[in-house]
Amino acid sequence: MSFWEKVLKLDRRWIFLVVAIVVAIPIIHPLGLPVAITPDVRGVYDAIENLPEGSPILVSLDYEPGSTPECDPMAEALLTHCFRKNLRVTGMTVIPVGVGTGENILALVSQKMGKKRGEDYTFLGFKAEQSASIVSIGISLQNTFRTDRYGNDTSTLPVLDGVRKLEDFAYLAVVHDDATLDNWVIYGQQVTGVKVGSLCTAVMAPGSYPFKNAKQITGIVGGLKGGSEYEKLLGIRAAASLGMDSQAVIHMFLIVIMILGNIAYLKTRKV
Amino acid sequence: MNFFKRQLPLVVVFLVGMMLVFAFYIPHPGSQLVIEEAQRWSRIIKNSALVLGVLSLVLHHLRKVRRKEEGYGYSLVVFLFFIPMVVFGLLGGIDAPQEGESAAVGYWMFQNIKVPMEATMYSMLAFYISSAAFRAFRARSVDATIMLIVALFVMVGRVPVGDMVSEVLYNWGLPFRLFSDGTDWIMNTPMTGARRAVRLGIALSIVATSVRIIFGIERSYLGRGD
Repeated sequence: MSFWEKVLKLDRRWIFLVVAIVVAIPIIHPLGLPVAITPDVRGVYDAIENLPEGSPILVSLDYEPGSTPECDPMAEALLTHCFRKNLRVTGMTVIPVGVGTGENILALVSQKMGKKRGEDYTFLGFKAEQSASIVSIGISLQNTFRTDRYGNDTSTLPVLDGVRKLEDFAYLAVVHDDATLDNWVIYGQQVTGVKVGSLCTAVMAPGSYPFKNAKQITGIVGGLKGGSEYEKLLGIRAAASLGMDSQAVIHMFLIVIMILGNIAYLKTRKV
Repeated sequence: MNFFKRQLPLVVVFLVGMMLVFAFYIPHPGSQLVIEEAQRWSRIIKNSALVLGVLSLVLHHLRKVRRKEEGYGYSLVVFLFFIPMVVFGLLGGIDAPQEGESAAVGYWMFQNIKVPMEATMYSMLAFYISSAAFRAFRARSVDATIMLIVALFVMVGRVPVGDMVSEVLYNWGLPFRLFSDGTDWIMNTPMTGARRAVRLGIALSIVATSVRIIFGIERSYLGRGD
């Protein structure tokens, strides 16, 4: 058996072992690789940065527990930015498990930033039927959510002062690992004209580009790369930047084994 | 009985469908009220379906356990996690604790069992994708070769190493940042074009299917009528 034939028959467990090592090393010893800022991420950052202090912002936290390693860091960066700017943050979700993931990250960041529930932020919870809920918020937020998740009347909450429907929010940030952005754009942005930003897993990022190029969203924060760029813009180095080192190394490893696999394939191919 | 199974649903679907189409395109407070009411009904139906789904899940696994069907042990595992989650969730809630408060058991279970388990499952993909990329991503044809080259290019362009290499080449005189700008072009031009085509196709299909349902041409949702 030639060398290339051996390569083709490589036991997958060797690949698993190398993957484990190359992922673990940058976590133990961060490499601190430099991150360049893309216009996509800047589009979201600038839209929030340019909002006047005290503006109301809606953050839809539509991601499942499986996506928390990718979505939590970008949600944390976004919420940190909002709270630094003293924006009034309203959290909600249009997926059932988004209650657990969304409320958790909002509670963590708000506590870290010393913000007060009801005045600086609130979490409305979950509404079933995505498109119907979004259309409904476009007509009346208070009729869609009569109380927030903690039983407070949404018509008297200070954080929602002056907000009666979707278009009253200065910005809508959708943190998602599924196609919920499609519904927010079709039934929210297109109907009310509210400015929207997409923060999503890397897998979902390609789906956001047609909206960005049609100027229906202001920008895209995609995956750990987007999260690390956002952190850099904020001048912090947190979970996304740390995870980016591992992702960079694993990408290079994948490129090497893909090239190696193809060379072995071409060398051993019977014409 | 055929009237209730066949004609009545068709009439209801036609009337509700037409009413909502007109209401959506007529900017009048009256039509907004209609939409709002319809949305409320829609959410109530969806929530009822959620209860039905849970009931169906419980009955399915209960039957498997009672009959000791093959793999009924997995059904026991379902109840092992389902019952405590529901009981503690309903009794103590699942709200995130405020500063100084202790976490509810339901919240603790969600954050310390469900989140790590799902994240672990998702993270395992890194191993399987690596193995699959090595074995399956081959330049077997012209199409596959183009896809392979683009994939490798985007993978480099999406990590800091790509930015660093692009910067070096740019400083050497290349008029653009190879991997950074190249990846942006791929994402913004050919990929966006392809996605738009897919989206338009999906949207047109949804419109066509909706029209067929509203006018009673598509009736598969009625079942076979037995």
